[in-house]
Amino acid sequence: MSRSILRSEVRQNVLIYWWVRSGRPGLRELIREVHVPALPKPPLIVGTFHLGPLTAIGAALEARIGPVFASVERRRVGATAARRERRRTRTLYESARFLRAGGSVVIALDPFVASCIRVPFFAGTAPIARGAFALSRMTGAPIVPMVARWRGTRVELVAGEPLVAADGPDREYALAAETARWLEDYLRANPEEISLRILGLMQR
Amino acid sequence: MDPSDVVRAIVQAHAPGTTLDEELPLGAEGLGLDSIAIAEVLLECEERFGASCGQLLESDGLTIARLVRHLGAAT
Repeated sequence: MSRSILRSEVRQNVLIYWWVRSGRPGLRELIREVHVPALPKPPLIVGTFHLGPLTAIGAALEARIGPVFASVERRRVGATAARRERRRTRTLYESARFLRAGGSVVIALDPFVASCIRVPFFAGTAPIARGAFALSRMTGAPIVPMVARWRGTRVELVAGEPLVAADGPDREYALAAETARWLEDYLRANPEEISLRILGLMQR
Repeated sequence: MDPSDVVRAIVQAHAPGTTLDEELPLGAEGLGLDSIAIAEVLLECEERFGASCGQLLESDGLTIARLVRHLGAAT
């Protein structure tokens, strides 16, 4: 496992080196070579993780399924807890409105800080951010688990089946557990894709 | 029904058992709602009153009183 992670980190640094040496091509230039799997009609909530070229997902999907709202959480030095909470609230609020208007949302399920649901993951449990599952409950949009990965200099998106759950008090948990199961299956089949961030998730 | 009562009822549904103070922030430093619950409160208020609440998230300190004032001015 540790060898896989080391390989993954080395490869990522090699790719960054290649990107700098190639004159830092723009994201849109790179994602001309993206393989996007067949997806259901929007609105969709694309739940993703910090694996591979994560930032390619929103732009790649926009070209295929229409408007996509991709939220990016950044650590800001000096931001108060209240300000971080307000930013998260605004992201969720805008995401829900975007979904209700027929657009799709890309949202990371392994954020730095957020309201979480603890679900089985590998031999233990891991915290998965609640936001995407709450949005699914609010809007009825399905969750599509998805990750991006490099194949040479080409980006490939890998998606699971759209996940929906029946109404009920355990709806968010059921969706989160199913999403974590999909990620676990993916990582068992592709251990070279495990990142330090995901390793941290496994140990939390 | 008074708009203040409607907003209070919406907030109370997301904070059961909490004594509501209209001047306290809805978040962790006040009534204890998380970001998901606050977003739901705003969306439910929008549906109920037909007025956008997005601009309330441009500054800190969202309270029931501020929400009621905003909805009163917008409708």
